[in-house]
Amino acid sequence: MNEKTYNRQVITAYLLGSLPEAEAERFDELSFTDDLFADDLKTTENDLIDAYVNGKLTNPTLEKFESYYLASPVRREKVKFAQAFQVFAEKSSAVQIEKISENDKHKRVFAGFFSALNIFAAPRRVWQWSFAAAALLFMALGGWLFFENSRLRNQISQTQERRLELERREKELQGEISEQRSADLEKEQELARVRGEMAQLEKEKEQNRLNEQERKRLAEQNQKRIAERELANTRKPAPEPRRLNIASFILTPQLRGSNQLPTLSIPPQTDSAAMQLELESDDYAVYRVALRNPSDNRILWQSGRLKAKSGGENKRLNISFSTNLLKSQVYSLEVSGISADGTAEIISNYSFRIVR
Amino acid sequence: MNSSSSQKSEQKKNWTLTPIAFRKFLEWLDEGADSGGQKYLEMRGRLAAYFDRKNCPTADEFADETLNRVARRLEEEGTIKSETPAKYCYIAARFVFMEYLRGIDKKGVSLDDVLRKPLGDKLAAVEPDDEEKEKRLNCLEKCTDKLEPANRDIIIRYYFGKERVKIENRRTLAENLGITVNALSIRACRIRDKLEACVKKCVG
Repeated sequence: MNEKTYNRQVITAYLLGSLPEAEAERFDELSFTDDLFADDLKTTENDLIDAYVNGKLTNPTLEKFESYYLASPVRREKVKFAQAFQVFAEKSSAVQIEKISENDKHKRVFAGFFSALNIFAAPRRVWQWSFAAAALLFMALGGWLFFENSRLRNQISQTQERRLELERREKELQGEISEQRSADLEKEQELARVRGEMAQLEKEKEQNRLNEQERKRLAEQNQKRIAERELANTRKPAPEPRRLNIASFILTPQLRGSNQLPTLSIPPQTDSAAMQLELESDDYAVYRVALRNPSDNRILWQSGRLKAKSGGENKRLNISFSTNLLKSQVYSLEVSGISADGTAEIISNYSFRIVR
Repeated sequence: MNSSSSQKSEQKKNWTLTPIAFRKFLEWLDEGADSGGQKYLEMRGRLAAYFDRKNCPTADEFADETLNRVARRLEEEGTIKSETPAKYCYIAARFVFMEYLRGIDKKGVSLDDVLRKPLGDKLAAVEPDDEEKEKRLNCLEKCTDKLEPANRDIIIRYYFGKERVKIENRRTLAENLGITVNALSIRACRIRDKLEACVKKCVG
């Protein structure tokens, strides 16, 4: 993946199960195939959990986190770990601050001590003059130490005041940042949702158009056949022509997605089901399609060798079989690619639900 | 036809991962560079996380089932060239997930209930009692002590401070290490993953 097509807000929506299905499936795949995405996913997840533990999540993210994310015991364990880790990090921070202020204190004390020694070292010649001068010097030194002590105390108290002020400001800024973040997150989620719905509508529109085209084509074909038969039998008393009823469908790979099996409605008196299976990629010269009943795993029908045909953006396989095979339940069409040495490999599976 | 397919299905059920098949599977995952099993662990982690995000009840078992299937296919075919190992594992995982959904469907449970599983009263389960908290914290301290000193330093400094202080601190830490803030966050995340795994094991 060369260019990022996601950001932290969208990843958060993915983790909270708020993305449209197609988009979520794309992220599922990226979580395996794109190392950068896998890393971003983990760091975003940790940040999301930390935000929850720190009480930084607001609705609707908070509500979604509690209702969806915490549904999994594995993810609840992650939250428990984060809670412990939070306490640990706070402890470590406190120790770190203590160490820093301790170091600071030592530096000051040592600085005062050594500067005092310098005063002793400087007046070596005074010792030689007289004890009186030495006594005066000690008095002066005592006064200076007293003054220095007061000055340091004053400085510490000023520093403490300044620190409290900074902490107050930090809290204010934290509040502002978290408000801004939650507002941004909500907007991003709304945008992702709207985009997903638009994409879904476009897809449905395109599918309806294709279905309509296919229906027209098949109807025209039927009419042509009927006309030919009528022409051939002009001198014979024409028997009542029986119209061949065909229900046609297009199955796309996206429709295989988990909880939204496409539902194909077969009208009464339909003789045959014509299906176009859109392929994700055209890697084989020849294919074979099998209709399987998942309830007993039996193959109900199998095509001959098929070649993919152009149609839309991707290649397609055209198949048709009798609707007598179908009743109201779930079926799946397994597409196998046949390699040059004749071995077959299942490359795709199109599940659908029949309603009669 | 039916008896041969049921025989095949029986063979698949009875198939077990032999040491030779496992070695071959590791080589295939490594794509020519010996990772010492790291790629395998990484892939297993990604699979378990995938199934967990899909709200599958036994994500670890599903991850193992997926890896088993890929290893079996590799043994049968000799090699898999159609996709990269990562993509192939994802495809296999999707099949396992779809089978799980079909099983759910047969039992008459709504798929929507599975995919958008409600929480119910599980929220309380996130709040551990004092004893559990204490135990977890002790484990965390032990596990942090086991880290390499450089990693221990990174993880402590990475989570030092709050908000603005934390952000500034991370920037400084990244500068000191000569890496970007993003690279630092990935490194910290990996250290945290290690700690999490260690704590999970310690808590039992």
